[in-house]
Amino acid sequence: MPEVFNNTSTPPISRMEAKFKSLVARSSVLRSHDPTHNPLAAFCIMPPKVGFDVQHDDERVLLLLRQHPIVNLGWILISIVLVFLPLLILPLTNWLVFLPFSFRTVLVLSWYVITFGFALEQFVMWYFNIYIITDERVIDMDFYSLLFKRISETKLDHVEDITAASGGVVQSMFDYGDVQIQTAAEIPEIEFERVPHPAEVTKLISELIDKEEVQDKGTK
Amino acid sequence: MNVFVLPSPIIDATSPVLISLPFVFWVFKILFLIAFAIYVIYALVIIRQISLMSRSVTTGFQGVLKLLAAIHFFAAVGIWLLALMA
Repeated sequence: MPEVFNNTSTPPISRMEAKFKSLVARSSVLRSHDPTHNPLAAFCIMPPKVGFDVQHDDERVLLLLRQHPIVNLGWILISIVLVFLPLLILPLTNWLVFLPFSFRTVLVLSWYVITFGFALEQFVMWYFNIYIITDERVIDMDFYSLLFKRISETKLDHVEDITAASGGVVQSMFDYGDVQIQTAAEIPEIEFERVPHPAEVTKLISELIDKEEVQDKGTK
Repeated sequence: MNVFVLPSPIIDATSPVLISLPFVFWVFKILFLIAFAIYVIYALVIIRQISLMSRSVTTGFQGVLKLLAAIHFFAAVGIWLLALMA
């Protein structure tokens, strides 16, 4: 059989796996963590089930970040107060006496549905406001409200400067802060707000940039 | 008697101003139905947005969120119907 029909080259998927494994081996941040399987985690290293609509076929998600869970404390406390408010207020007021009992029940039920809706909306906003670092890009997905979203991204070789900022008692105690990424691309800055372990995020991006530079030098 | 509390035409039967209680109830009910109809639309928007956000990012937890949003929407519709019949 002619040599041309013997396909001895490595299949693309194996090459992708090899590239990914070498990346993990070279990054101290990726090496020191196991893949995160918890879908509610705020700091997910190589999450297996995560993908996004503008993802390339050969692109792997290395780190998925959300704001630190402690930022949810405000709306959780408000929701708890809203749950107990009717129980505290209704026995003290008599201004609803002109309503039949059935309608008063409807009012209380509607209060709880609105409270549930408020908590659900707050949770969804936290859950879907994510920052993704892949082996090619840094992506910031912001959902400002239920109706407005903005997706910013920059390639790793466009990253110029990374700054991690953390301040105050709460941020120091829970180890979270902001990571600012200056870029040479059209979007001058991408900011990861109130993410857990900002120092590790900065370190990972630096390691990935170093890897990109090594690759660029290798191709020249 | 507390002189600082004004006699309410709704609560106090001895009030000089007379307002029909069923009339007040119907006005209240109609206003509630209008307001809660807007809320039902908002609940529908939440379902739609979770669906769109799930399309942008796949995380393996969208099913639960979609279920919660659907429960919220059907609860809102149920309350609107209950208010209509009350």
